[in-house]
Parts: sequence; C-alpha cells; structure tokens
Amino acid sequence: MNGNELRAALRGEMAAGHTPPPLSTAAMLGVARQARARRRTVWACAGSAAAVLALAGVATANTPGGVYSGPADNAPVGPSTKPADSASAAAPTSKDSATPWPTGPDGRPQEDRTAQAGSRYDQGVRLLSEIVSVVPAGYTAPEDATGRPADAMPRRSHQAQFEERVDGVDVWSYMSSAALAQGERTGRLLVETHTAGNQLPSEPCALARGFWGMQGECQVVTVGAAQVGVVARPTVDDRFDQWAAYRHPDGVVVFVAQGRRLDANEPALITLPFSLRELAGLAVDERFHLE
Amino acid sequence: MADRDAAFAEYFAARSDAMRATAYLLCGDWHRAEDLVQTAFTKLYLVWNRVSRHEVLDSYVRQILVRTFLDERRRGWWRRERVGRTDTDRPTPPHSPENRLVMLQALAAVPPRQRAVLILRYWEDLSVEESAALLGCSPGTVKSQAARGLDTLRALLPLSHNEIQ
Repeated sequence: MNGNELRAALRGEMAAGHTPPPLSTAAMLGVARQARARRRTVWACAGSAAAVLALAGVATANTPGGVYSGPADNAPVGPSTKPADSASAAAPTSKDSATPWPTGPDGRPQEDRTAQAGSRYDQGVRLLSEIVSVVPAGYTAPEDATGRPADAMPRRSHQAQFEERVDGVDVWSYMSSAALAQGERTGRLLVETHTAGNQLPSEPCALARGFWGMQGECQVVTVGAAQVGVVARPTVDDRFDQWAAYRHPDGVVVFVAQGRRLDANEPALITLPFSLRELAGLAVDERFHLE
Repeated sequence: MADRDAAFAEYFAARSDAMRATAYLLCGDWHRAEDLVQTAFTKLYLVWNRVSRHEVLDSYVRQILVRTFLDERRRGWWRRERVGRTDTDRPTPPHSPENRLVMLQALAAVPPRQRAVLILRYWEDLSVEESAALLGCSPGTVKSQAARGLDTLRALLPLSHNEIQ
C-alpha cells in the first residue's frame, strides 16, 4: 500500500461505513456561548481582584502587562490561536512510496527516508557538531538530560534524509538542531543543508520564503559576493523567528534558522543569538556546505 | 441571533461533518470524534472575531483538532477516561471478516503522530509543507512519519488486503 492507495482506501472506508447523524448546530452554539461566558467571568473576577489590590495600595498605577479585564473578544492570545495559512503553502512534493529508498551501508535498501548509518548519517552528525562550533559567546549548547518532559523538544538532534532522485542523482538533506541557552532561557538554532541537484528555487527570497513552507518578510543581504535571502519576521508561522537561505554556486542549499524558544517547557530567550547579518553569514559558511 | 453567532452557525453546519470524519479517522471512535470537534469549534468561537481571514477557518479548526488529539494522547487522557474501552494505541488483531474494519483497526494501531500525518496527507490532502506547519515540525519529519506510518499499515494489514489495494 502506498500513499495513493491509502488515499483511495480511506475514501472508500468512509463512504461505505455508517456515519452518525449531523451534529446539532444549536447545541454547539450553546456550548460555545457557555465557554465565552465562563471566560468573561474569569476575566471579570481577575479584574475585580486587581481593583481590590489597587485600592489597598498594593498595586501600582501603571502595571505593564497587567490583568486584562476588557471584552473577551479582544483578550490577548497566544501563538497557538494563530491560524495557519494553508493558501500560502507550496504544492505537494512528497513521493513517499513511489521512489525506492537508497541502499544503506549494509548493501540493503533503507527502511525509510532516514539514514540510520553510513556516510549520509555521518553528515548529519557532522552538521550538528558544526552548529555547536558556531555558538556565540554568552550562549551554551546544552545536551539532553534525563528528567525532561516526554514531549520536550530534543536539545540536540540530527537527521540525514533522502529527499528525491533527480535525473538519477540522489538528493539528500541534513537537518541538525541545537538548543542555545543563556542562563535559564533557551532558544534554538537549526541548519538544513540540501545537496546539489535539489529543485529548490534559485532566487534568494523565493528560496527563503519556501523554507518549511513558512512565509515572511524577506530581504536580500549581501555577504561578500553572495546574495542571501533573509526572513526577518514570519507572517503566519511561529516555528522560527528568523532564517536565512543561500544557494551555493554548486547547487547546495543551506538554511539557517534561529528561534527565541525551544519549546513550551523552557523560558524563551529575550533576544535572538545572531543578528540578521550574522545569520546571513552563517548561511554561506563553508562549515554547513555539505555534499 | 447576532451576526457573529449566525456566521459561526453557518460555518459549523457546513463543515462540522467533514471535521468529525477527520477526527474519527484520528481517534477511531465517533463519540470521541464529536468531543474533539466540539473542543475545536468552541475554541474557534472564542476567537471568531479575530479570525478575520475566513478562508483560513478550515486550517485553523483542523490544527486545533489534530493538536488536541495529539495532546490528549501524550497526557494519557485516553487511558484515564476510557477505562474498559479498546485502547486504539495498542495494535489490534484484524479479526473482523470485514475489510472495512480491518483497515480502520490497522489505522488505529498506527502510532498517533504517524496516524495524524497519514490523515493529513492522504485524507485531508494537505501538502507536506502544510502538514508540517499544522503539526509544528519540519517537512522532513512529515515525510519520515508518513513513510513509517505506511510501513506500519502494511505490516498490520493482512496480505490479501494489501494485494486488493
């Protein structure tokens, strides 16, 4: 069974099976209104508590980021409520089961896209060590420790992955990531290198905006003779705060991305580790130029 | 009915069945699917006036749906709340004579994150990049999870079912 066959099978299963009656719109509206009323009550109670504290002289007159007591519709929201922009994403590119996996170091086909050993695997490891080597002064790259939550993002990771076969040439990508810590705060630096033969865009900003399908405000930064696409602010995606993209003359593409936050378990960095120019410099850095 | 409620009700009536089908494929239980849909639409209602671009409503609701499903799996909610019911995280032998049940049972035995990727890619027809954005991971991870999920399905389905497909 490949992806297309699963697609057809799922449609067949759902068409043939029993489907419960439609959900009640009135009941849904009732539940939603109750949720809104509960939230308004919470905000109102919080506002009242703040007012009492203020009257008691405990609260100061101007409290930045103080308790919000306005209408729930205008209440501050976190990143999780940001809608994903499906319209901006690129067309499907996966060939999950259509292309046979490359041969592994044991002479047998890989079990999936990811190299578990061999020279490609080693390139992923090397990329991680190169990331650690560029950690700026004042930051550390902590290793994973025991006792972290099960859903925590790994502090260090690497992966070598077969992307596609173009005109008989295997295209690979190496993606490695390291947490960058400053005191109790932790951010993230990720580098993804695509080997020559890839079909990624050539224009610097088209290349940068296409990284992981994330979109953002892009500018071209010149580093020596190199033109680097740099997204300084994403528009709809919160996985990274800034990233740079560069296509080397031989076709190898390097993405370097930095984020203030590693995951929800650790406090985020106050400032990003690298300036935009430094980020662009990393994208052209020969240490990340892998074959 | 206020404009807000009317617009929300119209959207719910139009899209809740499709979202419930996605939720059902994710969790394998119609009742739980309805819970997931209710959670997702409630969250949507609370931010309705801020979701100014209504063309992204589907992707927003889908994102809440999938993330709520994965979040509850991670926290073990299913095991706490559904004592005595079939745990769909555990591989279930495809004992039913009906292929439909065999297929759905096999899907339910695929690990949740791989299952979510399979549903997004092959039921919702999202691209790799869209799936990655929704799950908050890299496109490479989506590709890997999809490949592993398909491998798991192949291993779980009887040979005859694979051949039929």
